[in-house]
Amino acid sequence: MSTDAELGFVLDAGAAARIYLLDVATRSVREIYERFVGRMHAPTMIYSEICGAWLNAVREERITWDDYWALRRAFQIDTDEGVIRLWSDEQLHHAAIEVQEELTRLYLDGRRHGSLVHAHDAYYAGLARNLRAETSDRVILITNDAKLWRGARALGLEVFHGNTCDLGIGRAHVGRPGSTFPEGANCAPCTFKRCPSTFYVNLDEPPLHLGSGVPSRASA
Amino acid sequence: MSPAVRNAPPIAWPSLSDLARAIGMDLGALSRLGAIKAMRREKVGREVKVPPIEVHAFLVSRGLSADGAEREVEQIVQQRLSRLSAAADVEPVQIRGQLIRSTSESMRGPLRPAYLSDKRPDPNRPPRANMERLRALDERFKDKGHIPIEEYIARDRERDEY
Repeated sequence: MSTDAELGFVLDAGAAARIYLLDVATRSVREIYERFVGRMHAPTMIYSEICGAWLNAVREERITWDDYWALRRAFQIDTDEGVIRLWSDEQLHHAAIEVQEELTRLYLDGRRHGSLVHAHDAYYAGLARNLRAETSDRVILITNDAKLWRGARALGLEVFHGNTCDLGIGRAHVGRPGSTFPEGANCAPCTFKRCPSTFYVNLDEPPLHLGSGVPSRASA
Repeated sequence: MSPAVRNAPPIAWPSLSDLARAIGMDLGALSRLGAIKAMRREKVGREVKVPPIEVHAFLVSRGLSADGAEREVEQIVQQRLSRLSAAADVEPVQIRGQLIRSTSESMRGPLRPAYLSDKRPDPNRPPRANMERLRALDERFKDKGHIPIEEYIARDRERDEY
């Protein structure tokens, strides 16, 4: 791990969505969002993935159409202004396929990784790899998805799980807010009030994988 | 060796194929050499790249003069760097617009910036994170409870119908 390299981040749809909608991951992703303007990256297909997720919330009547448009507008402004940089999917197809091929090889070799990541996710991992190769930057993939997290680790990428929290017990933990969290299910959305967690992403001297917790098999 | 070549990004480094051509050796045989296996390698697309400084040392060990090896490395890397800067000048992709047919050529090459609209970042004004906008969103959603975005994304990927 080079200490001189500039830091860059690839955000997947779940991590990017948490910039705008509060949850456990918001604390960490907003810290990155505020400090690394223009150094957060995503493939263009994130747009349909993130809007699709917000539209599910509309269908379940958890948010209104107006809410949806506010979220969509906020994301678009950030990409228009270069706060989050988008990259064409066109040049990522081969990288995404190579990600899946390598995970298949690892699986057949009986090593490290049990399943393929979803096709969408292969583009995030492929973008992280290509950015690292093309820019020599230290690139960290940020995801709230355990499968992508495990796949990225198997590929040798640096990856941080956005839901990493120490729950106030001083040990990094990843999971869905629930019985193991300090305020139980009330930890979602994470509003930081009375929160006993002392976890923070150290962006001044970022540790390997940003000190990510390890998702359990059951976590999303 | 010039600093530009010494510090070139991996995409501009010589590939093993370049190296095989430079010393007139079969790529397969070259790849099996211990000296090659010991080199730092970066896979860029379908090519395996090796750092200019290590290529230079290898070429010298194969009998090229130090100057000759340097010229060889400079030529390969400079050529790649000039292609890269040409690529950096290409018009960014705008995803709302006419369909453009993909070709095997268009799918290769360096990453290309893309935008959702015809707006572009103002070069005279560095972008900044708009925390006020996020606070307004927090206020808007404060009574909505937990919205399980990750579950929605996972649900979109389930194949419950064929």
